[in-house]
Amino acid sequence: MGNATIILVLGLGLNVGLLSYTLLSRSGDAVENYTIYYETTMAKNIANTAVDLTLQKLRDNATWRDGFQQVPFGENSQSGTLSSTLTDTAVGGKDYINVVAIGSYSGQSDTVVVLVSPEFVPDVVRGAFTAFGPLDDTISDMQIDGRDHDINGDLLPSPTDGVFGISSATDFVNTQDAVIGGTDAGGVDHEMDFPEDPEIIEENFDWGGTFPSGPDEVLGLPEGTLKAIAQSGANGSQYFTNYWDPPWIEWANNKFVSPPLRGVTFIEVPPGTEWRKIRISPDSEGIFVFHSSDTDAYWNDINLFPDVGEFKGLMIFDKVFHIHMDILGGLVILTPNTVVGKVCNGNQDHKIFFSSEAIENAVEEVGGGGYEIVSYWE
Amino acid sequence: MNVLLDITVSTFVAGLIILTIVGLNGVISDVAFQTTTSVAVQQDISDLARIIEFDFYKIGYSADPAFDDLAFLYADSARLGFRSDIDRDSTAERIWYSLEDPEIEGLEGEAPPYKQLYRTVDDDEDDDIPELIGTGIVEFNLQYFNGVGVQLTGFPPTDPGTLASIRSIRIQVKLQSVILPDTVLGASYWEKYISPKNL
Repeated sequence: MGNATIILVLGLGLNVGLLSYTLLSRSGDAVENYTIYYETTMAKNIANTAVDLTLQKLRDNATWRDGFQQVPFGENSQSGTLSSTLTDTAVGGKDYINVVAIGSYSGQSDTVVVLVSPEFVPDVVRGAFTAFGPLDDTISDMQIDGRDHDINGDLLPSPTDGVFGISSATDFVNTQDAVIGGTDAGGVDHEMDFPEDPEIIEENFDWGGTFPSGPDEVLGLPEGTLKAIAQSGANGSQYFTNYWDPPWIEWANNKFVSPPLRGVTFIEVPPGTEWRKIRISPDSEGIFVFHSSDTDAYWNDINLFPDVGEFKGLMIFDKVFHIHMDILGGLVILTPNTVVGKVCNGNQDHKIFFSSEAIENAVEEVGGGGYEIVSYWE
Repeated sequence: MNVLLDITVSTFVAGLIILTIVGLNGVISDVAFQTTTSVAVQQDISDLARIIEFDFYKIGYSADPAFDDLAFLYADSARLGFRSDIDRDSTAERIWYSLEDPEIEGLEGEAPPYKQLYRTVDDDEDDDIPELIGTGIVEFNLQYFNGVGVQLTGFPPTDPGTLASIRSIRIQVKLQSVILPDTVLGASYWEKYISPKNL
């Protein structure tokens, strides 16, 4: 009887022990389930962070392809690492960059693959004619079209993925019957017309205090980049501080005309400078800058001489009025104090037509612009 | 007399101990069963969450940059169809999620105590067999939001514009363990708000 009782008690005790062990083990499994889910989620988040950091570096330096290698990440840097690789690729004749980012966290890892397309039209170019200040009088009676045109000035098939005709941070009134077209916020193209369709006018745009105060900011470049490129002479770039020294040409009829412009043309003048009726050579192209350190350089009356063709690319002025020339690309005025209360007539035969191709050709050389995410695998 | 008393008392004590241990054994068995069931449900919902996340984050994805088809095929609170190039072969597959009633013997004609979630990948081949990815589902809800976070209503939509305006999806799932056909035990809940980057 005594032995049987001992065996029975020991047997039951063993059973309790086994069940307790099972219970403990299952509790551990429950915690492990959540832990693994947490770790995989963390790995995914780190991989997405690696993509963000990689694209940020790419915006700062368009030629950067180094990527990140096993960079510690997180408060406890032993727990997570991020890596990324960048590869140039072409699909359908168009260039892309393939970004592969890997996030690792406590033994779990996740991969994100992103295809990005270089986007060389700067975000600041919201209209064929973009300014912080009012443009009511500056546009005079020109033809302005924010729909996208090719490098020859021909309108692309609709929808053109263009921009507004006019974009400013103030009210807009078309005081001198300019003919304006463009692409509205919904991507719909509108033909040039007067009165213009209000959908292609961007009034009172809130720049959040971030409207560029200098030309480099327009292209998202570090300050001084454009000036340095102009001074380097790369791709025909030129740097000027006045127009009366060669290579500007004084004609018999007292016209100062620039040489043909290529690459980056950076004209830096003292604050308060005003240039009147200074001409630029036809068939000029690239990035054109007229700027003072106080963002108040004023070009009063600009045209091509002889008046044939157009400037192809992006023109950036502190301030400009009497724009008696054609521009294929885009025009940006930096000052909030644009010219108001003056009249500029006789400009109906001149135009500002947006052309992403003309701007891309100009901006690509200086590594400006940004990147559009084409596809995102996560 | 003393010997008889000893035997009686020791038998009584032994009986008490045996009863206590048997009772303890029963309680621990019960707890172990419930814990095992609960862990199984947690494992199930964790696996289901990973499958949903894998697919939903890729809604509208294609390895082909020229891909611009409408991402969503159909959407309501219990069924979702979308395009995604989940195998990255530059051809977008059509993927369907649908909540269905299970077939339970002996419960014909009665409302089942849970539902099952099926996933179908339609890649234009003939063998598109629905795959059971979740069972024991007692709560399942899909909600849709536009680009500024406003919940869209009127699902299933009758116009493609509503489908095109979807930018985020909220998923709510509650699982319970299926032990017996008409009994559910244990529970686990998962909810996530997903904004696919390709929309």
